[in-house]
Amino acid sequence: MRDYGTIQGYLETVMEQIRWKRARPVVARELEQHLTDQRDAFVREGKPRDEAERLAVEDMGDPVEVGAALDAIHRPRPQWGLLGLTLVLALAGAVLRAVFCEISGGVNAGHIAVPARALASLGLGTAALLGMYFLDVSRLVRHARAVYIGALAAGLLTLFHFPHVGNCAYYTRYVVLFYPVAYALALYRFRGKGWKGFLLAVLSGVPLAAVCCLAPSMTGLLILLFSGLALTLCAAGGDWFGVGRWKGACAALAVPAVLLTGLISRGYLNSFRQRLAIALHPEMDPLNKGYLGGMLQSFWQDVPPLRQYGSVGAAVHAGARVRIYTDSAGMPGNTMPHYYSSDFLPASMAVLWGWLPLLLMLAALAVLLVWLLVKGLRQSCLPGRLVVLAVVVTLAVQTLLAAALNFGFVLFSAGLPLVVGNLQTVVDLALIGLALSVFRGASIAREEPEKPLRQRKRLRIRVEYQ
Amino acid sequence: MELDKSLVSGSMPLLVLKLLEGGDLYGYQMIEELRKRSEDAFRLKAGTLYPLLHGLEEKGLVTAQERRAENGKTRRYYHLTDRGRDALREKEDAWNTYARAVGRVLKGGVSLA
Repeated sequence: MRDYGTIQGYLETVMEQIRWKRARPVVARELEQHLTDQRDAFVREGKPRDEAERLAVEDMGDPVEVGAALDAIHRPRPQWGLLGLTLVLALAGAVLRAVFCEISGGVNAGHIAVPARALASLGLGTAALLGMYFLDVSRLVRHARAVYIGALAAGLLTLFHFPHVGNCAYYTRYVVLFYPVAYALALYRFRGKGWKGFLLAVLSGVPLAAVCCLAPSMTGLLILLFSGLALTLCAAGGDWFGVGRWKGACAALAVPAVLLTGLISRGYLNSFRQRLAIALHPEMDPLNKGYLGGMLQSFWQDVPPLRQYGSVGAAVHAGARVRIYTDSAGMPGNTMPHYYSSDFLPASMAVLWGWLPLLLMLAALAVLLVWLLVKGLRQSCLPGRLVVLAVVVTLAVQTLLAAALNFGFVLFSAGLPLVVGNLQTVVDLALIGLALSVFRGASIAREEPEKPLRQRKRLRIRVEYQ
Repeated sequence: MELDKSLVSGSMPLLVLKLLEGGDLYGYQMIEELRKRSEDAFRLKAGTLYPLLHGLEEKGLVTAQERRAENGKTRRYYHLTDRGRDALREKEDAWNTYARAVGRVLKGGVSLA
């Protein structure tokens, strides 16, 4: 028979009533703190330790009733709605990749998403989504430094030891999509560390940005910069660094301002302005590289909301046009395709079926992102909030850049999340799974206490005169 | 005089929110504070308090954060949120209305006028 008279026995009985195993240590910790406080108070009143412990346990109430009450509160929160929407979008993406592989005639299978690959990515992505969904995010938070070093090491490994395609580190482009989450977790290490912590938080983004530049993945860099700003602002808003909310927020905004000033002083602003002007008016490109953007912009002039069933001829004609081929120089002269870029799958879809299906898909993606963001910002636990924010910014920047690209504003290459790219779909599903695991475990999410700053050891030399 | 438990249990969320209005507290402090402020009338069992606190946290009326207490030990401090402050106002109003009504009945008895 269990001895309810001891703290240990009492806690074990309470824990047995709680069905969610992950919640048990979290709840037990708080109850144990209370029981030891109460026991110590009785000891201070002059009671023997054993009796004090027994009285403290008695004071707590029936362990079965307490456990049952806590069990009713601490249950995993299933995220069926978000899971369903994510999987529907991923399934639609896989079907589209398979369909457009057929339309494009299966040319150059090395670069085209063949149906089997699309299905395999859906299966692998679903496994990644569910794997992350059932993951205990608090473990990642506890091992934030290891996650950061691991992410950096993975980036460097793929950068130097994995194949490069067209002077780009192919796999690094996907590894860097995890960097915002790694950065969000890294921020956790600097809680309550003051300005030194803030500076270290900013500096910890530099190695990650360096990997993006070396890949090179400008999309990854842009995602990292935007998410870095959003995460630092969010952390400063919660006075994470302990320097004051407004001071922290101003400092967070000062970082990109300094960065921009540095870039302007080095003359990068003019080149960016030129690039932006060409993106808006591709025909103005003096090097005649605006062909791709011009072609894409011309697509949209005669795309109907919905292509009528039966106008197969028009669709086939359009289908032929939607094979968006680019060569390394983006020149129109070379009519033979060098490769089919699946980044343009949304534009292809609109030209073939009309812009309404694409609009619906973009709307569904927007609903998913807003849903994630709203739920994420409601999280009471800051590390969870930061992880969700990192995921949302990553997906949102991808979506915006992909939409711009497909409308003919060729600034950065990016695939529409869950739709374009097999490997990218797997990564995006894993990221969404991570965000959902934050929501699933929200009732037991806990922020670790701040570690006390180490006392500086001072060597005191005392000189005695005799 | 020992209070009827049913009288106390319904007003516990109000009392806990009111305690937190004065500042962040951890569970043990809340029980002690409640006992002192009620002049030993309310002796809340910790086993009742924690499910109540976790329920309030679930509803977003309070948030909790682990901090080091003055004695150097880690304790889970509860903090009243803006939503919690609004809920407290509502509960206070409801309680005052209820108390006035009960008071009128107890003082005046039945009026046939």
